[in-house]
Amino acid sequence: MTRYRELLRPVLLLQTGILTLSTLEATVVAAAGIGSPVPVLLTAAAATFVAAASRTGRLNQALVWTERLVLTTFVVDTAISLFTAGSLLEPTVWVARFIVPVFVLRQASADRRSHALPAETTHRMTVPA
Amino acid sequence: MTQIDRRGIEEYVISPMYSISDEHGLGLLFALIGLGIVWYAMRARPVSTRASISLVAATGAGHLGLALGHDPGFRTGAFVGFAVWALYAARRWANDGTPMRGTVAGLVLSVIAYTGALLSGEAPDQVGLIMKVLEIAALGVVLGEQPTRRTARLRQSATVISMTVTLGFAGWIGAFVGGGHTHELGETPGPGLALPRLEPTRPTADDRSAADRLFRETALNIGRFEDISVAAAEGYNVNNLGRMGGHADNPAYKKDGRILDPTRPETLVYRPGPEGPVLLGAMYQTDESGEPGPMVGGPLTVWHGHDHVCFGLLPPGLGSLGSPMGTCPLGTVMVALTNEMIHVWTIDGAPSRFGDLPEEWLEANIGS
Repeated sequence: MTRYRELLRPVLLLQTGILTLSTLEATVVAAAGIGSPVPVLLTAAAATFVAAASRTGRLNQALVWTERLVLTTFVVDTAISLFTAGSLLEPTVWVARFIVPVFVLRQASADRRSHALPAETTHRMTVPA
Repeated sequence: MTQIDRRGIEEYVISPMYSISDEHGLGLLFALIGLGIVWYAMRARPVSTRASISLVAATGAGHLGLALGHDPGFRTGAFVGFAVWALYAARRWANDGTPMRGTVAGLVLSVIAYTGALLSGEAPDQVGLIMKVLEIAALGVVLGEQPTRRTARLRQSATVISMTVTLGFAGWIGAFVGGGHTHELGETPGPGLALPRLEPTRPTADDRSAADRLFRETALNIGRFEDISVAAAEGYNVNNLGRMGGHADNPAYKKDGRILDPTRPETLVYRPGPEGPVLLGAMYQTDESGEPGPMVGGPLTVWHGHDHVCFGLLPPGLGSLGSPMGTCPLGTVMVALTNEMIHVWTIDGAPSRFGDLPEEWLEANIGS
């Protein structure tokens, strides 16, 4: 999975754009007095974590939990959609809330595994005898 | 317990923004096949090159599929032209190892052209949106080829983020301008409104008589709720007036098996006026999502549902509608399809008895 690392930044930038748009939409609804500010704050925080990760390349715990939250809502929404509408959600939902978070979480998992390897093992793997 | 013959979402007409039109299905299929084939064929290449070529080839194949789904004309010619250019660009890239001149400009122009079409009032659909997401993703990869240069990184970030946000906003504009706002059968609805997929017909004398009876019985039974303290005493939740468009639900009347009972309407609709909330009418609701409401007055009493609604959990309430980019704000869940409902407007002078009340009339007669 680490070989796909160079796609991480474009993917995180796309997600930053998607979450920024979602923050603006929630802000409009909250400003109209219909919605609550909580989704605005949560989505803005998520957009900030993703933007920060796209800049630094570090996939920290805040980002990992953000991606897990996005993925969890996808699973819940898919279940609701199957129950209420009898259909799966549309392609943009799959891209924004399934493919992107799964890709980022797999990168984070690959990062954790590579950091967890003992230095001696890494040395043996990379330096020929 | 009676088995309800429920409608699936395909039995509703919803905004094209949340659906795949018949003539665009081939475009999505071609794009997916193109992406898969080229991704596999380019497996020996560096990942960023592999991804860029695959995405450009996918959008080229997708536009070819779009052209096949449309009748000959200017638009079809534009689809073919872009498809040929994109497939040629992908091939040259695969052969030369570097993108040919104008690849970035071609992708940018394609996204701008679609955004312009949306801003001019064309309703977006899922295939159009996903095709542009592929192109923006391709741009993100291509512009990141020189990741150590600060200006290159800045250009990459600005391009991807601004194009995604602009495309989303244009999608909203296109969806609202291109969709209708009344609840008439046969109309393309705006985002969030789901109308039963039924042929429009002319009302008969029996339809008019039944619709008139429903209106009169509703007006007779809900008149006392002009005083919201009476509504509150009978279990209507008037505390949230001002939110959800002034709808006061009565939880005891929901899922009670009595769908169109003028003595027990599920919801009362108010609007804030200069001297307090003004009763506009009642809203009847079915017990289950997809359960067809009884159209007692035929085409005069069309029921509707709402689709792709983001409901907030903290606190419970409307969050927004599903975004063109497929998201709901975090902390909300997307309800793909709600129960069916019908409004009966009993306020004096209302220009329509059922369906939708024009905002202009409300502002002129009650206040904003």
